[in-house]
Amino acid sequence: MRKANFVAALLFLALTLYVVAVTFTFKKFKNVPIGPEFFPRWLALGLGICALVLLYQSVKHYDKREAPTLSLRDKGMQRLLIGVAVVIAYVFLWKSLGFLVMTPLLLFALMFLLEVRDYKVMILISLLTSVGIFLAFKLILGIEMPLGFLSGVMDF
Amino acid sequence: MNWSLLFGSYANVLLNLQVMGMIFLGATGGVLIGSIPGLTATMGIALLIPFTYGMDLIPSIGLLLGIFCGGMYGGSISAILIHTPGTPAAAATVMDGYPMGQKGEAGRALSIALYSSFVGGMIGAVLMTFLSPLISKMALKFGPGEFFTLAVFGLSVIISISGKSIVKGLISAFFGLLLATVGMDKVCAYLRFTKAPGLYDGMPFIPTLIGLFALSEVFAGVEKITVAERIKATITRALPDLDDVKTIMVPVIRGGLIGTFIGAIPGAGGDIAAFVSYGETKRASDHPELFGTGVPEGIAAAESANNGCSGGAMIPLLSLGVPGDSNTAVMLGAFIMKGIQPGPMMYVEHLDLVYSIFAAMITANIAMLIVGGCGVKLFAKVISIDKKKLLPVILVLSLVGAYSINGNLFDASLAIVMGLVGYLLQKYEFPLSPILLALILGPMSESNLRRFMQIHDSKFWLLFTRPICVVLIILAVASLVSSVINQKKIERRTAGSTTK
Repeated sequence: MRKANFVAALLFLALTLYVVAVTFTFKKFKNVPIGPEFFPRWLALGLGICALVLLYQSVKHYDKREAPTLSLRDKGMQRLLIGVAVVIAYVFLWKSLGFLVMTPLLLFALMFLLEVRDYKVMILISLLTSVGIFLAFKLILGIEMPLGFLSGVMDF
Repeated sequence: MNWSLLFGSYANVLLNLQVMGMIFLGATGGVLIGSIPGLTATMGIALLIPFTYGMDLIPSIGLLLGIFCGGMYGGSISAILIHTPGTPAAAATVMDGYPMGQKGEAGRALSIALYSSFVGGMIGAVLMTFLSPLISKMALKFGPGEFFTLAVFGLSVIISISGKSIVKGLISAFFGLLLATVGMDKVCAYLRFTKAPGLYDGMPFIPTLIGLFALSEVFAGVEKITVAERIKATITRALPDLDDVKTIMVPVIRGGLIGTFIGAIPGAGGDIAAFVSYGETKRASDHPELFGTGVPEGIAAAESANNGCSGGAMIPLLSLGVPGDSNTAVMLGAFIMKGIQPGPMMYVEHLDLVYSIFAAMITANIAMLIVGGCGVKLFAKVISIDKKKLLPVILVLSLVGAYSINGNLFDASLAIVMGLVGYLLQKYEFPLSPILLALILGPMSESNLRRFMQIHDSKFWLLFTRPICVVLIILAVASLVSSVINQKKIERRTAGSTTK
């Protein structure tokens, strides 16, 4: 965990420097004892101090355990990255293709990614879950999900 | 107290089938709404207010109170089963509820949550009946200084919920507090760190919560899952066994009292109450090192406090006309819609109505117990579904939950970003709960401190001349010191057991 803590501490120190630097660009307000910069600046300093302690602990080998890796060669990591890409595409295509088209595709793709190979069950879960969620939100809670190109057809 | 009127009002509620039906309907809906991440009891109440237009006053209030109480318990279901608090008030339940579920004791966790919610809710409702005028007088004394110190007291429990490393817990907390400063500064109306319209009002709370707790778990599941991973949920009873009841008796009573007190303070809701109660229970425990691994006391403390809050929040609403939290704020709208203006005069002009509300509140808690008890086996079955098929469904539900708050894709996208942040933080053992607590208490502490300084001409020391502030500061310091001592004790015991 030493290397992971070291990298994390450096990242949080970088965040501290960024926040402190940005707070100096904030507008000054007259007759305001504590301006908008006060809290973020002091909180960033608090974060910086804690990050320094973590840095010290990592240098001094406080935590000798193995840290989990973020290697791209790892099968799990590859699966995660593909999964995140699919989810991002899903959300961005909601507006144009609509919830009812995209959700079964997403569910099927994710189950496939998770190595489910029972295609009948996959299709059934994908369709029933999508329609179930859509109807529950629309009819019971009155929340409209984006329908994309189906919006004219599916008005009810 | 007009006893004959009180008993008459109780009889009117208990013997009226329409009122009872509405309370049970509300409790069922509340449990369901509360259990879906992204849908809160507040949202449920707001959605159902239009349906109460044509109803009489008492049945409609019964329906809304049923949702309120049911929603508070419902939040614990997803907290225990899928690591995502269904409502912000159930955020503290995740810490011990989820690990207990992962150990194959989801049914036990749900039954403890149900029992604790019921007892906490009853404590709140009974105290509301008898102490309403007294507590509201005290709550009226809360100004910016008191709210600031209350937030500081709430933040002092961060070390208790930091997990293995205090430094990492504090880093998470500072990170959360910084996130809470993103967006429009409420005092000077100045945009900080962003010009994105979706962040004008700060980090949207529900999408952030869904991202940190639900999506991070889904992402971790997608990375790790290789073989069919099923956790068998053992469900033997709807209510906890006698041993569990004995173990959680003190935390439940303490949680109920803390919840009622915090709920009675306008602006402080069930989320804060649950964290404070959890911190206090861990502090008082003989085995604080076990908290976070799935101990009954952890679930009991959080659940009794957030349900106690529902009774507490009604106190200022009824006696001052000031809502104690977002649920009662929406309910205030329902009262006004029905031509009733809550406030001190309500105790003079509509005392029968006040007593009927007390009766409906107690009945709503009983309804929640019955509905939750009947459904506990069904809810716990969720966890025995093959995770490979469940994870994609949780993901869709989470994204829909994030989207449904404001109906915009920005919130769903933010949930994904926060999901990745949560995944990375969790992978490297940075606890997520302090971020959540910081997001709740950060804005409260900042705006109230700045208001206090503005009012008192920058004389910060005046804070120490206010009795409530002094008491809260002493409590915060005591909580911090004892948490650090506890944490050291945990580290020593852990080191000892590793050596053995």
